[in-house]
Amino acid sequence: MIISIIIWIVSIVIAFLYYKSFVQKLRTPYTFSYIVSMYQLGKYQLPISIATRLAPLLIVTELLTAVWILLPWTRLYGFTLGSILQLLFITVMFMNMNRSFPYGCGCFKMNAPSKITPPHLWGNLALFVVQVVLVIVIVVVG
Amino acid sequence: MTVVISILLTCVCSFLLYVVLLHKVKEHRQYVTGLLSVDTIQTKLQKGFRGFVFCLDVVGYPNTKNWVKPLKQIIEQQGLELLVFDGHIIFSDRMEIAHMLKIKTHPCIVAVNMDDQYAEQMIVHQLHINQDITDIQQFITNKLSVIKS
Repeated sequence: MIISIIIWIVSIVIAFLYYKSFVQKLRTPYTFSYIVSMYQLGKYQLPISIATRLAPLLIVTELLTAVWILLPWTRLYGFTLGSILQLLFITVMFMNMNRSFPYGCGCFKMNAPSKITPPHLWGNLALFVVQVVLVIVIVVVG
Repeated sequence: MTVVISILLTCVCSFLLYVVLLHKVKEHRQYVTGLLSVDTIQTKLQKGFRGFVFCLDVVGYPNTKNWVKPLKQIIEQQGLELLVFDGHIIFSDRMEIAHMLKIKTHPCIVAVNMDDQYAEQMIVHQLHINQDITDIQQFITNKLSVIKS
């Protein structure tokens, strides 16, 4: 019973976080595409033509994650998808640590210049760990 | 069964949203890439530009083109030119343009007469929706005679 209540509370909080992030990006999807194109993966930088297709996909995935997490019968898939998303964010953030982005890093705030700092990474890592733990709990408890 | 239906339904809705977003992104990108390049702007300014310069956050605000359109008409009706560009790009790639126009911060609107080395600016508070252009319109009207003379 207590575990179930905790799962519900954490689910609502995480779903809200993804929904908030989705709404932010939904307002200016091109800006988010531009931000995505500015991330460097080693020496490689994503061309804007690919970023304009990938960024809307990420935006939609965030909403999908929020919805799946909220529905009890799809929660397991929601947390799995969320974990994959976080892993992706953590990887690109780590590769772009201390880099400045004129339109923001696309994390939660947009249009304001920002720099990727360790707290950004820790926040995403915490979200990843919580979701992985919840996946295990849901699988074990059922 | 509930799980399968829910997943299918949300995936279909997500796909539709993805298509809508792709269209929005494409539209905004076309506007941004349709703007003059920094090289062209610099050349125009060096050749004695007379008109108005809108140094805005074009990438960050998709509705920019909507409120710029009526102002462009006012300016062009007076036989003057309007240059619109993204402030972030100027400040990160081409500071010379910012120096030429004496721009220290953006978004802003600058009344320019390069022949007289005249450049007076107005700071704009750019909003996502329903941008109030009354003050900008007033600024343009006041500066029209100064630039034309």
